[in-house]
Amino acid sequence: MTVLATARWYDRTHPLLRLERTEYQAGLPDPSADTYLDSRGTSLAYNAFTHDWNHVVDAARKADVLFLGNSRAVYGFRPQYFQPWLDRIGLRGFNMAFFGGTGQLPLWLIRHYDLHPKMVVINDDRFLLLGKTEWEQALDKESTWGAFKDYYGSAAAWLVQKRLHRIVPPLRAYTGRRRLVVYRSIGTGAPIFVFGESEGKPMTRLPSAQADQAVKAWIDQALARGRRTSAEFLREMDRRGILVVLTVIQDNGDFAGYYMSRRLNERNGRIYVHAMLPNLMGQAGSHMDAESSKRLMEDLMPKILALPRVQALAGKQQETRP
Amino acid sequence: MNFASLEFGVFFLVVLVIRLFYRQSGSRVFVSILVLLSLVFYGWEEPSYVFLILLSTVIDFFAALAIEKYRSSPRTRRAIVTISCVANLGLLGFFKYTGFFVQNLSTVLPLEPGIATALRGIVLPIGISFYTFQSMSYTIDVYRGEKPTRSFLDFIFYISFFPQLVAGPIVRAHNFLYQIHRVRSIRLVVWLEGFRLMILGFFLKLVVADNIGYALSGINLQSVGIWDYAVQPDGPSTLAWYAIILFPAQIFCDFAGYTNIARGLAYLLGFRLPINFNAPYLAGSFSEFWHRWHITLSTWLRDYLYIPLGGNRISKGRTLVNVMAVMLLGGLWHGAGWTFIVWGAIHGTGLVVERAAGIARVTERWLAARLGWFLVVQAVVLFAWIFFRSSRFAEAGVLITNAARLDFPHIEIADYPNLQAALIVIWAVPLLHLRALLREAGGRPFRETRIEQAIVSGFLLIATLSFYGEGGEFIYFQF
Repeated sequence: MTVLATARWYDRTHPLLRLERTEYQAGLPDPSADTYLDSRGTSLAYNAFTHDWNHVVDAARKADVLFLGNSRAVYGFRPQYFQPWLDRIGLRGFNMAFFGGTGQLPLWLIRHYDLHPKMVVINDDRFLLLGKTEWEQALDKESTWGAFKDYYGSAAAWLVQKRLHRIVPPLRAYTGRRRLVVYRSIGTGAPIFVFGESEGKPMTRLPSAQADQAVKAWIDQALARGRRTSAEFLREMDRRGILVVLTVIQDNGDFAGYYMSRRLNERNGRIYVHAMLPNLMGQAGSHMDAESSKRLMEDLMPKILALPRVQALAGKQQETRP
Repeated sequence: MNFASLEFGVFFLVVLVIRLFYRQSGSRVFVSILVLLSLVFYGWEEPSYVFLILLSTVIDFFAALAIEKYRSSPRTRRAIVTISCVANLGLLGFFKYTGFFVQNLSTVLPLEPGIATALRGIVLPIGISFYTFQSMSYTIDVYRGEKPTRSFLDFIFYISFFPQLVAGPIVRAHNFLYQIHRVRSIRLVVWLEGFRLMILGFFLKLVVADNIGYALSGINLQSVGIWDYAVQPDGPSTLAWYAIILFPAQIFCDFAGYTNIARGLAYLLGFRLPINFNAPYLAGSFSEFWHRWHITLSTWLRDYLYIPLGGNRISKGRTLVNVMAVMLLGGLWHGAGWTFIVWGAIHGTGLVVERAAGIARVTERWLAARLGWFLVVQAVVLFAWIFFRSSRFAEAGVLITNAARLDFPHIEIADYPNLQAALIVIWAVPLLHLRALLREAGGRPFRETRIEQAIVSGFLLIATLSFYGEGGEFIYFQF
């Protein structure tokens, strides 16, 4: 295997030795002034946003609409597909979703940097109900100096590895699972996949209208546990006059998040926009590919723009324009 | 600073340039620069920890001078050495054992929750177990009659010398201080040996230990590994046995890798550090295991704990009690947790049984007995590692139950992150031990020539650059 992998690395075109390209051979340039390294298996975006390394928060400050959520929101809410819709009403959007993300870090960021978007669009896949992730807890314990070393050390290590593996084949990449490598646009939050772009397997499941009894019971417990985090997030949005629009991005696996979100909306009366389409494609049935993201945005964004409160926002926006 | 990090790569280049500039090591300027760099190395993770190491250094430097001054007054000398030991053990105890103590105390006494949480949250400064033992041993040696150094620069260099600062080997003053001002020009043969040791160390750490670590524990905070599956109730025995086999290989390569890098670095700078590992999984007895595993700790415990307790000169019963006590404290030294104490107790029991039953006499005479006892010892060593790795007894209990069930359903190796890589690299451990075995037996094939060493090192270097795992911290940093 070693010999084959080495031979493949040196002669990537030979048909007998066709092995998957590694992240080091993706041909993408280094992160530039417009992009930063978001993820290398572990998410660096938490660190980047908490400390505003590379001024990643600037665009979020200027944005009218923040798109929030977990990794499915990173893949689903792609700025190249939502921004043309927002342009129609003169708003600027920014994808501030995090891998493994919950509402905790966005809430902290909105308070800490005093962000005032007009609207947040949330992939409410348990987003409002969960507590701090392990990454957020780790950041809490870390000093600024430690966070600085972690962030810039990881980014520098990536650059060194890319150069090293022009000379020495990355044989380990051919055993076991590969690591996600994602850059993000500083200006729009758009993901740029070095390795980990969806490979296009069908996301076949759509949720049925009602959850079964076991899921309902589980949701009752989760809602009871997550009531405080949900209320805190929504209260802060209300205090700042931020319109909250909830949706749930389709997933091939556990749909409990969808039913929970619906139940939560019934309870708190927030705007929920349903956008689930048949025949979307995604990696292992989740994390949709670019074409599916485009279809999703073409379905979701007109529904959002048609909301009276969003129309009012657009009106305000036009009024305040010179 | 972690050897397996990019910043250490830069740090290492700076050190190398300085060494090339000061070709004749031993000058005060060279030593001063190394002290400064060592403190930067130590403070890299948390700058405030530098004050702790300075505190420990100042206490023992002046304690040793005071002992020398009052050489003729045994009571004063004893008082000073006691103060030094209390100060060092106090530092170690506060940072390492307060949380453990509070946790256990709170099970019997109600404590104010805020205070209990604060005390449990005390962070362990990296390497404190190593440098306090080193610093303390110097004062005790002076108390026992050795001459103290009068140079604070030399003493702080001895304590803070960065290659061995955070995870040993635990160096004795009389083995190191004399080297400081010895003029050592750069010699090709020494440098080659230094680089060879470093390459071997990085291979053991980055390729073997880190790839196994990834398979065992996952890659980051949100992922899981074989160990996590193996400690699930009713998990398959296959995974439990993978965990039982993989962890001993990981910890050996992690720690031996660190020691080799440290020794190699010291060679490049013109110093010599003691060996710490010698193929421990060849040990045919518990006593031999501790002559092969973490040698500088076991000799430290022997010289500063076991011998002062009476050594072998007291009754057999007392000796056995002392052996057990030393091993329990050895376990506790590794970590503030009952699982570490049980790990020490298992080894202590092994040593006690071995002595009490006079097993050495039997194994010396009979080859079959020797082989049989070797298997028993290694099985117990593997068993003990389960407690060492487990965070709770329940975790160890589930793993042992799963392993003992002996059901081996087929598992798809590719379904477990990095397990395939771990099962490839683990072969380095038996190969290393086979090499040591042949060398000890005087076998020709593994007495390499320089050319053979160069070829092996070249192969290991390329393997390291090509097959490195995710550079986690060294396991012994947490001790």
